[in-house]
Formats: sequence, structure tokens, C-alpha cells
Amino acid sequence: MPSHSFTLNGRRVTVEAPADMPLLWVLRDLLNVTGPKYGCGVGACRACTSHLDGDEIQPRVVPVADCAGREVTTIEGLADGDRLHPVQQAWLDCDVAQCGFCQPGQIMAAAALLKKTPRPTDADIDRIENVCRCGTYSRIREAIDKAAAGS
Amino acid sequence: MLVLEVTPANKVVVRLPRVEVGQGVTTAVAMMIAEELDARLADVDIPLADARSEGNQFTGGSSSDRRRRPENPRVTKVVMAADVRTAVNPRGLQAQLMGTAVDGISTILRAGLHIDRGAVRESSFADFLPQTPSGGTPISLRSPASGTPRSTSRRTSCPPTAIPAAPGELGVPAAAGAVANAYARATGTKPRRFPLNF
Repeated sequence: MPSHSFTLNGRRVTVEAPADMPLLWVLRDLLNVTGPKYGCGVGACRACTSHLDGDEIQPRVVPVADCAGREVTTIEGLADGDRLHPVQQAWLDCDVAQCGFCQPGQIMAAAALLKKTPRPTDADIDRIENVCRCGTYSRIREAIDKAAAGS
Repeated sequence: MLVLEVTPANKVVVRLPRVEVGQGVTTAVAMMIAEELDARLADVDIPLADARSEGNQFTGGSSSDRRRRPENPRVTKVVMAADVRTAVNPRGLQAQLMGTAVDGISTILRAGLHIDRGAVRESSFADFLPQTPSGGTPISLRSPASGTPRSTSRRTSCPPTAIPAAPGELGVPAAAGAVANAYARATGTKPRRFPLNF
């Protein structure tokens, strides 16, 4: 079984897994990092959204071998110690979550958007395609605007 | 009224005259009772009694559809009014109603399943298409007490003795009907099959 080393939320980890095992299985089943959620299994619902070297990815469709030597960030690693990421704080301030299942992915998608586009337009926010079956979209937009205004 | 019974075995039992259809009403009520009584959640039992028709749930929904291209309709605005008597968690109530509006829009516009020889064709969110943020529709909420937006955040707009009701999926049929009606008015044709984009 090949072994793969990468940085997960600032910590170096090494796992033994088939090269084509999806990163999501590695995170959830081997490393017990369960913030990225398993939803559709094809990278369409985006509940698993995390970051690879700062860019948004869907770990369900990224093989673990592609992460060797790189930096993976999940929702667990988004805050700076006890200080929440501005997107997380805005999420709390706006009471965005309902059932909560998609929310780690929503927050990671929003954080990735704001990193590249600090002042997003409505059209920029439209590019987030993460599905929320509770329909929290109004507050997602509100929270992204709030996080953008505060940063 | 609700009767709260503490059994000799130190369990708390409340027979709830509400319908549970997946909205989590038994969990929510159990959590509130456990918190108020300093009881353990596991010791609170919420069996369902016959639902009482007290007329304490009502949602009105309306929307407008101004897109000129009827083949790709889009909801541009939703106004919802709800009377749930006592809003235990007003922000949560608002959120649930906004969610039901989104679900109503999805159901009418594009979220459907094809059945091919008895099997569902759609396999996941790649081909089953509920609303995503790109369908972002401004939604405003009104309570009938004052008629001002967001007044559901004021508990005083409801009688303090009213039994809380579970909004759950309350808004879905009203929102879905409103979207279909808006489409009919905007296009001059009454749709008979849903979703419209299918």
C-alpha cells in the first residue's frame, strides 16, 4: 500500500492508502476529519468542499496521490486558533445554518471566493454552486456580503 | 392545553397534538422541555397525540416572475406572510420560511425526477437540480400582526399563551402555488405539468 504525506490543517500527516482513494475517504475514514461531508459522490453537491493549496476543491473527486506534499485545509483548519475566520463569524452572526450538513462546504466555498475576490458582486456569488436543501441561500449571500464588508 | 406528565420512573412525557412529517418537532419540543426542566434529553418522551386543528398555522406566499423568456423562468422576488402564533425561535422561523420558499421555487421550476421503466433516472445533484445560490431570490417576510418586514423577530406580535406550532414544510405548498400562479400571469398560459424546466 503506497503511503502519502501532506499537510492537513497545518499538521504533517502520512497515510497508507491506494493512490486513487478519494481524499474525502482519507480525511473522513483514515484521519477522522469529518467536517467535509459526503453528499452526492460525484463532486456536484459540493458538501465536501475544502482547500488544496488555498484553492477550492471537492475532496470526493481528488485522489489522495494528488495531494502529496501539498496543503489541505478543511473547515477544521479554517479558523486561526481561537479566532474564527471572518466567513465563519459572519455565518454565526447571520444564523445561516439550518440542518447544517452542507454548511462546512458552503463556508469553505465562500472563504475561497473572498480570498480571490475580496469584494464579490452578486454575479461572483452566483458562481458558488454548493447545494443547500434547507434553502439557506438568502442568508448565505447576506453572510458573504457581511464578511466582505468587514475584511 | 399541553399536559406535562412526570412518571414515577422520573421520565417526562408530553403528548404533542402535532403532525411529525420530518420537520423535527418532537426533537425540538423535547429539547425545550429538557432545558426548561433541567432534565436529561433522554428522559423526555414526546409521543404524538391526535393533531388539533386550531387554525394556528397559515402561510401566504406570493411571487412575481418577470423574465421575458418563458422557457427559462426565474423568480425575482418572494413575499411571505406567516402566522404561527408563538415564535419560539424567530430567526429560525424566518430561516425555515425562506427555505420553504426556495423549495417551492425548486419544485415548480426544475427539481423533478424522471421515471424510466420503473427506475428513477436522476442519480445525484449532477442531474437533479434544486435551486442553488445562482437562483438567489430576494425573500421578505411579514407577520400579519404588524405588516412590517421581519416582524417575526418580535415575540410580542403573538399572544404569549399561544401553543407553538412547527412551521416545518408549512410554506412549501403556498410558495409552489404562488410560483406557478406567477408563471401563469407572466406568460398567459396555465402550466399543468411540473417542473416547468424538465
